[in-house]
Amino acid sequence: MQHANSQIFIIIMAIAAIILYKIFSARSGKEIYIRRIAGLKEIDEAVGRATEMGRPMLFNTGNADFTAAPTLAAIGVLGHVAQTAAKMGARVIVFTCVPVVIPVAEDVVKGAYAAEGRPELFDAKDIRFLAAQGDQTALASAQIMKDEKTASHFYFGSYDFTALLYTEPGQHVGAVQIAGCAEPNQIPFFIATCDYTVIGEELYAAGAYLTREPTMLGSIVGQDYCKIAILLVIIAGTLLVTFGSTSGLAILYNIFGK
Amino acid sequence: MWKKKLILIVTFVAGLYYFLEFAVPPIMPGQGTSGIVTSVVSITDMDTMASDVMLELTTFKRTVKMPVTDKLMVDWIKGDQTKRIATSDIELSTTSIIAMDNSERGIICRKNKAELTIGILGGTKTINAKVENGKSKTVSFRMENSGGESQIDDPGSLLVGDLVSQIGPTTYVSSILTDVSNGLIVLATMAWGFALFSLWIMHSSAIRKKTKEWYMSVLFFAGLVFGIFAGIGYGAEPDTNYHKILLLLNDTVAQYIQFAFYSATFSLLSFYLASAAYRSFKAKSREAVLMMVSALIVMLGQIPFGVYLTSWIPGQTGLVPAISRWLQLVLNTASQRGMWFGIMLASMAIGLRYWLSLERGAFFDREL
Repeated sequence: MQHANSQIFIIIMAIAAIILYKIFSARSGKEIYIRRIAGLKEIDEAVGRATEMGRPMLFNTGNADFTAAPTLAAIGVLGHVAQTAAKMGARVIVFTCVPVVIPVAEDVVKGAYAAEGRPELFDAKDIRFLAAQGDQTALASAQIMKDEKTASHFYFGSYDFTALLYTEPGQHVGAVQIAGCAEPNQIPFFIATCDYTVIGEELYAAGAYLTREPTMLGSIVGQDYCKIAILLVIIAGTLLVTFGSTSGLAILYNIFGK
Repeated sequence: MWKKKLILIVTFVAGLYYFLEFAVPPIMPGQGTSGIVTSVVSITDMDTMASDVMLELTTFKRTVKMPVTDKLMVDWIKGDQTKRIATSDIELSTTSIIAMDNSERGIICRKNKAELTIGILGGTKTINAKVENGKSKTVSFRMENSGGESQIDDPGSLLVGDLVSQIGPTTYVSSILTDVSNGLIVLATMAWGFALFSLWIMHSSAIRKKTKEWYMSVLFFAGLVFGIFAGIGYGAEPDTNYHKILLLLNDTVAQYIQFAFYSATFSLLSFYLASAAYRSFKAKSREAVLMMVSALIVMLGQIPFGVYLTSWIPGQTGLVPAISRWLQLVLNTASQRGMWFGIMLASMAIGLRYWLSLERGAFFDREL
């Protein structure tokens, strides 16, 4: 079992302090701006497209359970998609290979339709457990695409090699596809097969972007400050290595290297 | 409302445990000790098959650090011989002892390019590394090696001459690690149970109401029962006919059905890769052109034709493979690391928000 050392502990506390400070300052009413994320902005367009065509949408929450942070982020996006769909009177089919996701997804979609005053549009059969493995689920979803003539597909969550198996059939049926994934190895497959891809940490920012909730926006800004700090350390390290300052490198090594 | 409060409290306590166990450095005053293993005795109780490992350590009073240079000389004792050598010539060996100026003796614990870490020998200490009184007690060890420290879970694997540090509970909450892990397994099993229950309700209602394609729900139950029996056969010894049937069922499901399906779907990937690659190779935008050119260079760098392309330029035979390697090792690695920084920070932030129940606007914020 690995444990943090004193330096890492201090860094963790500093990062946590920055994030918490920005969360609380955002909550106190401070104006927060986050940049435009194309993939997330297009979600409403994709829902609208499906509504206009009178066809359902597909939503997949990835191959992991709730111990994976991307699944939590995906549930947040599902809530928004379901609410927008309910507002427009459209149908969302959620499918997964993780049984644990089923009750939560069911509750989220049901709650979204109820919140928009359209509980009658919710059908429990639209929350589907297709198979216990990602590859088989992907194949089964290809059949759903063909049968239901789905117009928009959303893939948010944690993915393995099955990323391409999920999205390539979607291209063949001509659906608008939006994906969000934090695994760098799978992102190229999504970029190649989807119309919009939410990359890496943008997936975690999805909840903040879609809900505009100050707590989440503040958290995003706090992360950005931490990234600036990390970037400064990288630049300092690069300069020290380039100009061969051993004493400066020793200081950095003492902080991070043990 | 009370359900929400309960969730908040449980989430906070669980988060606090993991924070204390992993984020707080292992500081246990008076409990952690470091030294060199001088004796290992393992006693196994033949009834319970539980074993106690008695470790005898020569402990370190403290550690000192020395710069590694050609000029700094130390007395190096190897066996019966003592010789004066430069610190740069010292090999990492726990059997070699350094004589310090103040008549103390020390063992080299770690050596890197710039620094030598020496543990100054103190007294001996005996540690009962594993206690088995019907219940195992977790005792953590950190073994030192040339690259740093690594955690070991089995005290019986220690050898005489091994350098260890932080013997004893690593943190204040280490002793309940097994209980917490067991609790998590119970929770996860319950979650799976709920999921199965949810599927059960959905499919049984489909059969009852004879909805469209209700026979698929019958197939679900058939598959469930078949899967349960096949699962019981996993790892069964074929000593009785009953076990033989279960084992056959397990093999049929796992080897002859699932494996075949898995291979078939996996093979589909190659076709999908080809069609996705074809689509990516259309120069739709500036980024797509960049991706196309870099992919082309990487592909050419992997085949002999890539070498042939620049073979007419003197001294530049391997230019394309070199650019290909640079693209993969420098540009690709840098961008992936950049992404990982963002992902890790975002994971920390999301963890912090859930731990302190600051998450708003998502499903988990709703009134229960």
